Amino acid sequence: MVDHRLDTKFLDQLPKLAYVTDEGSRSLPEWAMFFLHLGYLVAGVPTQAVRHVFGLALPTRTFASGLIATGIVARSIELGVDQDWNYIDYISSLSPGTSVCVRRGNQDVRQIRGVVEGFQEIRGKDNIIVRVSMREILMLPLETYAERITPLHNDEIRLPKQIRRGRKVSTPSPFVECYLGTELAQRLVFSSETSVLLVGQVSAIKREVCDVRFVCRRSGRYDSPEGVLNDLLRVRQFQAVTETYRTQCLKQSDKYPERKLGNKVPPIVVFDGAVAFLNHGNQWASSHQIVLLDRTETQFDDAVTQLNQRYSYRASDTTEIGLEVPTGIEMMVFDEACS
Amino acid sequence: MTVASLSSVANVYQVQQAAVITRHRVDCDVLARYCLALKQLQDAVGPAAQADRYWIEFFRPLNRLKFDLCAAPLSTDYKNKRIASLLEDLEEHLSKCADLYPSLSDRARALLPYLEALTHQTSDPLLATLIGLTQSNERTGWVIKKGNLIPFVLDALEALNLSLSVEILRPVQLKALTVYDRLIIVGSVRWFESCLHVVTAPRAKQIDVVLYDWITDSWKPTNVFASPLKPREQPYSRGITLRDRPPSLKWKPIDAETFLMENDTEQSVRAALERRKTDDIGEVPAVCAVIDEGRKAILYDASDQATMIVIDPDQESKNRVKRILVKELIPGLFVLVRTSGGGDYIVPVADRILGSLAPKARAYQSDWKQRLTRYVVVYGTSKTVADLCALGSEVASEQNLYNWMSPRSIRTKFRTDFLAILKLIGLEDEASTYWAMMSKIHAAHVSAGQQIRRTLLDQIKYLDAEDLNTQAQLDFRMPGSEEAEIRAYRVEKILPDTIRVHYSRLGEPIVLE
Repeated sequence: MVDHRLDTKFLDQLPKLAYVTDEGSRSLPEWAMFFLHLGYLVAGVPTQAVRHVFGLALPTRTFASGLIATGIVARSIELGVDQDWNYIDYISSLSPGTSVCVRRGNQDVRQIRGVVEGFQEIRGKDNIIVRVSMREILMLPLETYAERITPLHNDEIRLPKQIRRGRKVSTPSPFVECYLGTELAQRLVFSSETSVLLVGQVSAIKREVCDVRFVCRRSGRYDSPEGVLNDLLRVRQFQAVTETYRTQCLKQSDKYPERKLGNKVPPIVVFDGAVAFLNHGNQWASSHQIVLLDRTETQFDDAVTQLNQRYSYRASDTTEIGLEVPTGIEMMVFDEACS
Repeated sequence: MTVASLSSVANVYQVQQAAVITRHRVDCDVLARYCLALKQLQDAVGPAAQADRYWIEFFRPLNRLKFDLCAAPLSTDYKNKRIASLLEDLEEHLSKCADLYPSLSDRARALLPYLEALTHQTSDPLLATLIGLTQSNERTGWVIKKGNLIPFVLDALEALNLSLSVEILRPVQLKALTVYDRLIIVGSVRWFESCLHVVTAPRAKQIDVVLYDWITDSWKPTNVFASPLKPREQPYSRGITLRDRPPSLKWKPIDAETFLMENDTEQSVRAALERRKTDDIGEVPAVCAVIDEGRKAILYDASDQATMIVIDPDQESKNRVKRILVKELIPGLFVLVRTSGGGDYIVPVADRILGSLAPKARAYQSDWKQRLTRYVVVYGTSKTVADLCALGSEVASEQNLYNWMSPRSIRTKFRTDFLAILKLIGLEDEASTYWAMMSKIHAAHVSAGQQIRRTLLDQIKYLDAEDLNTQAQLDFRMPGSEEAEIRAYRVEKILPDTIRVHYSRLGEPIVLE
């Protein structure tokens, strides 16, 4: 039996969100807070020998994945200090010739595209060499610059002849700054990482995370500038190619997810709906899985059967997660051996 | 497409957390006697009721009437007309009973007065109960299992001339995020097993299940997961409270399961196929999908490689129209059917592409298929396959032969097989002309397929999954046509067993009686 109770003090410190209606803002209901908190919880659990599988039967899938992913991203940003080294390793492994996007500057942040030429150690520190024009190369210390470099795997770029300053990068939105604080907001905007993979109906997820407005609480009042969940999630597929990302989204019908994601293994996968789970539930064997099943879906029973079958081969049970599951949501958690 | 608001989702959770399901029992002497007498007769007939064609045809309309009367309050006019027509048919059917089954004849005839008594009924207790539960100041929906009965429920309401505000709903409509004050489900919850969300994901705080006193209903909220975090004693739906009113035991209870018509649907399909019996030659196993809210069935080739085009509401708008293996067909997908006339829905579109060449090309297509079919009828499939192999065909087999004879196929994949067929049927000299004609039809079908796919995508791209999931059928108009030519029907269920059917009946909707 495994106990993954959350420190409730930690939950109390979470910023509060409210959603915007024509009549004003309304604080998030219990079920929505539960999804946010669940995301926070799962993002804090490392995958070692086992991974966790969370099954949830819901009266509707709407908004569940977006809110869970928001919790995951926010927590991953907080835990980012530990994860930076992984990202440095990842950037260090890029082959020469890989197109990348580099963000330079502190106040006036600009982004410029270039091509990795190689790596060089100078005074005991690793540097990445990026050619940004025919006449200019950048020598960037990996320790400080890795998180400001985004590989552009699918884009071949033509280097300009002249030296260029690069394009000004958008700074974090006031909504994100209010939610995460300035330091974490900067980290969110300037570096890329896949904290969570959402698998489902991309158009439905997009509408939920890009079109519905939220505010967060500031000095006891919900009066922050408005924003959408995607300001926090930064879903790669909903962003311009040069923007940084924190979340990836995959179509449930996608037959070749590896073509979209490369060999990167997302730490957490959220299956948004029965079809997504039935199509892709056997992939990403070392990632935590959150399976959202809508009771109105035609294939709800098939997905439940498959999840129950996997439960019968579990490595161990999880009986308590420290979160109160709201009435109307049925939830099962178990652990599987990572392969 | 509309964006679901967080408020509407909040309403759904609020309802889920506090739903009360109340079971109400309704009594009706006349209908109870009919149902019980029918059950007793079926017990007396024994297994023959399911196996003997005479009894299958006798019981089918009676069982269907029993279900319909218990599943919806129908207008008196419709009910009486239907019973009158049924009595007429039964009289004729029973005229042979004394000779065929002398020991059962009197018992079968004894059922008729119960039927007649139903026509003399002056009030409908089911309707009265539904009206009694419907409050004028609440948004109320009556949920009827069979959508095809809804017009007769509306007629029944209209005849009463009440100022009652009520929505008559199909179960699929309750997938949407719309929340009602009260939903009244007509019949046993067991009948809603394929759409159990009406009670497990309720869209109203107050749900009433209204069923007749003699029908069993043991449903209660349970967990779906093997080991949910909450103790089993407190099911997920601890917000859902079930208030049961047990039956009065005035009548011997009838299991709700026996009202379901799995067997009946299969028998109806077989009966419909029998009415237009074709040669046994060319029978292939077929997957049977029930569509049009149970009114029609459609059969598809059950072979491993057979494919079909469907609309999948759960996919992204760009991927909703897709080709799947027939064995992957599941309830909830939409299948495509031609709205008028029989045959393949691609044909009229392809013919428009062929233009003035269409009649001539189709005549050629029909000619070689008829000649091949005649050959098969005379010599049998085995000899035909052997002859085709001897004439150079490389892939001749019984299955391929059926495909080639089918009006849905155009030509063989390889020219050598086509040449072998034309040699066999005496058209060797004109092989090039026939092949060229068939190639033109083939090209037109490919273009038509692309055009149809584009049109369907174009017409459904503005619908979101929720809109699609609440539709039972969708009509599509093709470019250059005034009327809807293609209708997409939601698959209600797939029969568990395959049915052998002549290949010419594949893809053609069959009206179930």
